[in-house]
Amino acid sequence: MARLDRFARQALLAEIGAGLWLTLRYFFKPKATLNYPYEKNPISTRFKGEHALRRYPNGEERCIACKLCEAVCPAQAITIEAEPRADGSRRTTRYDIDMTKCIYCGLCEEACPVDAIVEGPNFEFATETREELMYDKQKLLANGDRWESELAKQIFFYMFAAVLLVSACMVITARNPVHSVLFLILAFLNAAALFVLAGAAFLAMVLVIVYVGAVAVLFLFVVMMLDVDFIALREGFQNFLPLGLTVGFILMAEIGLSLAGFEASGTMRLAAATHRVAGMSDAAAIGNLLYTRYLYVFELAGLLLVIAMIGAIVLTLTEGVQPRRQDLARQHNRAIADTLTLVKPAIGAGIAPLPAKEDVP
Amino acid sequence: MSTGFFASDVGILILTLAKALALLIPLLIGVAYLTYAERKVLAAIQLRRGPNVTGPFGLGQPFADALKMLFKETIIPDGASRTLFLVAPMITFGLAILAWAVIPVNNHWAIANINVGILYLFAISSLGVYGVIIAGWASNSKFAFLGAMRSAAQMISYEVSIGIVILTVLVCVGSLNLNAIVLAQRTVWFALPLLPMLVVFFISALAETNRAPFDLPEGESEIVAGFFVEYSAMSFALFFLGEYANMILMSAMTAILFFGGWLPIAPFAPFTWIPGPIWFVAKVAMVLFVFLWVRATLPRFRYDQLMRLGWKVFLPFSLVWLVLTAGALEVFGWLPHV
Repeated sequence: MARLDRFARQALLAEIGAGLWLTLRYFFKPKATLNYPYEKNPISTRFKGEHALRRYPNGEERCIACKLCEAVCPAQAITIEAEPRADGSRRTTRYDIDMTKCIYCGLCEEACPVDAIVEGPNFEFATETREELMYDKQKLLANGDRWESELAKQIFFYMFAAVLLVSACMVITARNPVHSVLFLILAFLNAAALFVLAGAAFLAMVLVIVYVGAVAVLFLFVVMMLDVDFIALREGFQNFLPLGLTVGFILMAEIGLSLAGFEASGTMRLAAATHRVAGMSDAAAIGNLLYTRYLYVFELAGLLLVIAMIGAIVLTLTEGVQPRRQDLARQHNRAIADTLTLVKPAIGAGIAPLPAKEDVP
Repeated sequence: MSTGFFASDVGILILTLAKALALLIPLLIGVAYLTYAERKVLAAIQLRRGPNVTGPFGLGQPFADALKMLFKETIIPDGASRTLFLVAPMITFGLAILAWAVIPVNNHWAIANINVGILYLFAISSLGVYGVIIAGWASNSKFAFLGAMRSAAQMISYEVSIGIVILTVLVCVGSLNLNAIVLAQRTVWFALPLLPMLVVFFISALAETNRAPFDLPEGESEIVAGFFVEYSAMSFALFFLGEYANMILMSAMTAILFFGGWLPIAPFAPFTWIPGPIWFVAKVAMVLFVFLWVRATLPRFRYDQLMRLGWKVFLPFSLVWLVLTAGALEVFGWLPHV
């Protein structure tokens, strides 16, 4: 029987047919290739590309000719000459970078005390001759003018990131729990700003709506209601350290794992990139991924939330004394005769106990 | 416009500032005259005359009030958290102004026509609670604290139904962009097919702005003035202005989501002569009048009634209506494909 089956498969070209069917299906699948010069992958905000010399908003060069970049450059690609200008300030007369030597390590950028020399997001500066890659000051300043808006955006990144980190530290060090929650809110808002800078406006808005607008308000609500003894609260600080460190470590490991997974899985990155370049809004791209590729995971997460919600309700539902239900319709429809009894008490006799009326709340 | 001075960084900055001023100044005048309109409308409904002494028809009243507020002393209670006490009214007022960045008053007439406009509005309005809650806590006073607690619970409860109403509109539009939401109403304003949602949205907006009959956070007769009991002078005025700016904002949201924003009432001759911004302002004014009208008519809700209405009536109802709307769109093939 097995032989017959094998023979039939062979004779009917079943495997070949299956293979052809597979390739045919792939023929119609969306392409993974990026249509490069017309479509581009997003690059990191910390991308180290072509160099640029920046100016201050008033047009003055930032570079003060301290030559730190020249000294730090491991490839010795930078050459600087300087002399005092007529107004007494020290400026470069020559600032050359040999782009054929440069290894794009970014040390010049780190060494610069005035953020003058930076590596911008541009990676498309191939030339036809070797000479064109010997950049001089004019070329570098022109680069700076060209990419200034992009570069300034990175400054915003560091600004928001700094405020985020500081407020995150204040959350755990602030003496007053209410201040802690307020710093937490500040941290959330800065994280949202970072999302906006990264082009994920939808995520930013959701973060603000869900975490700042709802979750943090409840935190604040609970913390304000609690009558916390701050000194007693501080006492356990050291005891919880191991637990806190463990949780922190697990979180770090999780973030690392998911980042590594994201980097490793090429299809995922391409999917993300393709959505970006296809001109979709980020909300549409997220929706597309959530309701196709990650549908089951998404539904599972929803189910977990429902279970958690039911759990919370069950935990807080107290048996026993319940508030009396109010029946608005009955209240509105009752007549005076139902609720009011006029009696004429005999003088000196008082009122006899009335028959109990139906209790209408 | 795309070249020359207004394409440079400085030019864009100046242009944006000019746009912001062009929106802000009418808005602030609007806020000032909303306080006047409220007093006039309440007076008329209660058979009184309202302010009529300062200037013709009492039109100078808002400015007289503002001047008085400016010259009063700001009192900070002992034991209050100074910084937070002063920051709270700024948050309330600042947020009420901030939201206007995305409101389109005519086709593409918005300071920032962003893709997630409606989410931005929702985010800003959900932040509004912080001004109230911080004010209540920083005052270090029990009435203020009670008011803050009430408002926190109330605003979160009603945000949920506002969110679902917005979702219902979004399902019909297929975009989060406010401009697109208005343009989607060219054939019919959403007020007609989504009438129940309009009612839910408007009532929730009353609760979100702490207006009567949901003004429990202030509750003059029980907790004196609620969260701003301890405020005086300009910091009080900022709360006051913030509340009115929020009312205008919520009315603008209602106009955009349900009454077709700047679109004329009918797309033919006599109506299309009137420019868009005038239609927009007229619609906002109409909704604002209902705000005032409701205040003059209804007594304050009790707290348990407020919570019951929010969680047990509006939430299930708007959820069901959302599912029904989505289902109807799917069945009749009206789902927007963007």
